[in-house]
Amino acid sequence: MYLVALKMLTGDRIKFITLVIGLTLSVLLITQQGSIFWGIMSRFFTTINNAQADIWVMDPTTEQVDSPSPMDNTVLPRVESVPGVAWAKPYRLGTGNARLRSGISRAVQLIGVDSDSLVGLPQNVIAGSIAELNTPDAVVVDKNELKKLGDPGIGDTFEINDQRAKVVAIINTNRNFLSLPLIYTTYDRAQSYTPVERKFLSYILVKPEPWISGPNLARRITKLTGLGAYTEEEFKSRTLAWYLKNTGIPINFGITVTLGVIVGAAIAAQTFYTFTLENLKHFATLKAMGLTNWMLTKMVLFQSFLVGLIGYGNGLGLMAWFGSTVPKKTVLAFNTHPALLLIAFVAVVFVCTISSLLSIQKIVRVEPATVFRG
Amino acid sequence: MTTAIKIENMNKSFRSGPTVSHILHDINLTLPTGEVILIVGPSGCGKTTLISIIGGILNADDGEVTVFGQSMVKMSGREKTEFRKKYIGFIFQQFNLIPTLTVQENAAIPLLIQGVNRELALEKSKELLDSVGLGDRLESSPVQLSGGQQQRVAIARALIRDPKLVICDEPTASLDGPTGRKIMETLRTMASQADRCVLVVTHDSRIFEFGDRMVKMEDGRVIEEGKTVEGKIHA
Repeated sequence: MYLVALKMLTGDRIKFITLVIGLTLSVLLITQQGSIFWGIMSRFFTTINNAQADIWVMDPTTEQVDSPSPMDNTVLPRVESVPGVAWAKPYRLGTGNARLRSGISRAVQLIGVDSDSLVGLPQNVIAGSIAELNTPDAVVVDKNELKKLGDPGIGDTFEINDQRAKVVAIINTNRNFLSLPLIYTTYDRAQSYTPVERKFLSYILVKPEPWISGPNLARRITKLTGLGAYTEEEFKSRTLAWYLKNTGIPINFGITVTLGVIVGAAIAAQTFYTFTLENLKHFATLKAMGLTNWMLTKMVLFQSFLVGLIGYGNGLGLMAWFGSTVPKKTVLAFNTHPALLLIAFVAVVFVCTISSLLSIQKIVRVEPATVFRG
Repeated sequence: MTTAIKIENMNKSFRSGPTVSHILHDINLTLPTGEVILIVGPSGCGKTTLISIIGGILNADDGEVTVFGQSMVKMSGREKTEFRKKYIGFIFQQFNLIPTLTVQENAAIPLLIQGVNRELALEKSKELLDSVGLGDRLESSPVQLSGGQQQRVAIARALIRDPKLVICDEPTASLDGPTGRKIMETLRTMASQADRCVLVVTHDSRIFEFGDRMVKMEDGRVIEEGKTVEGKIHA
């Protein structure tokens, strides 16, 4: 009887295609908007991803990575002395003003890393050598926003806060949310680029000894120093939670995703219900011939979930196509979290269940005697 | 001949809000096997309600309805569904074929409902369609067939489970005279088997001659019933 159900479903091509399109669009909206949302969210913790540190130590009032409360340099030895710390390196995250050779000024994100270890500096070198960061005026720039710096090459110079900077390497990093050019230099030079501040240290990047886990060491650092200390994942979550709580971004995307589900559900449920009404005479005939309500219910569920599965596949396919083409040509943030696939699947199941229930209650109630009414 | 259908003191009414409509009054009938039984009467006299109760798709208010020895009154809904599946074939005025299925698949549906293997069901369907002269239209859609051809598909569908009772609702109403006669000849052949019964609700006087027995109804009552000779009840 499932084949009969399939043929009844696909027999009316227009309705079948409308149903599939409704669910496809719904899945596409959920996954595409969800991927953009997660893409933007991921950019909030780009700095954390770029630095690749096991543990981040910070002033306890720091709420998220891009807005650190500066600390005094004297806290560094205190952290180094905590049992279980293999090493601890300073990390400065601030902004500066770059004046290009063309005379244009640009806001930049200025990051200072430990000059010996270069801990916190991404290692994906495209041109030049990061080892030269210790030469006078040396800076490393990221390729994503190179145009905003006037497309400098290796050896080219520009000014940061009226001081000379010379490009010694170009690296590949993850884009950040503000799309500011990232400029890496040594911690000391970052200090010289920056107007005098009493407290300059943004973070301390820590590597644990092999015998202690990251979370345990983080708790220990907090306990012994009174500073905030988080593993990479904990700090990402903390940053993400701050943005979710303090910006309208999740609400905006939440509305779009919810609308996707509602529109998809409305189209699918309405079309499926119309399909049921048009076939009610046939369902009544099948009942008169001895088909049970349970079997009819299974047929309707089969029809509904088959359409749902096709719509889900199509929606994911379109989202994958979008994700593999558009972001490459633009600065669009796009990152598909695996949970999104599950959310879209649950949404499809929800839409199919609603559609089926409307139809099933109609079919179960239809009197087989209606087949004699001409 | 044995008794196919026995109805005793049966009544049926429908309630719509505060209004109660009495459709069938004190019906008493004993109908034998091996006959084509015509149920005739003006519109609204209760013919369709009567066959719906006999066919187990409506419940009687009271009285007793026995079909091939089984009480329809005592059966649960599930048992009635099972009974229809095993013993009854239906033929409808509007054929009620599913347009998205082929002719062969439409005729096979009752066997598929019964859980018979699809290949076997289609094979049996082909045999029956051959016997009603539609062996060359197996893959056609019902909408590509004439009214007479569609009704023959409906007959094949009704007979495919070899039912003991075939209930026909105005089977010739949408057909021209010659086609209607062919349909009735097919039904008569089927009814000629000793343990079978064909029940036909009709207004169509052109087919009265095919009835072995006639039940005349008016205002929800049986007003005359008996064997027929040349389309008339033999006194």
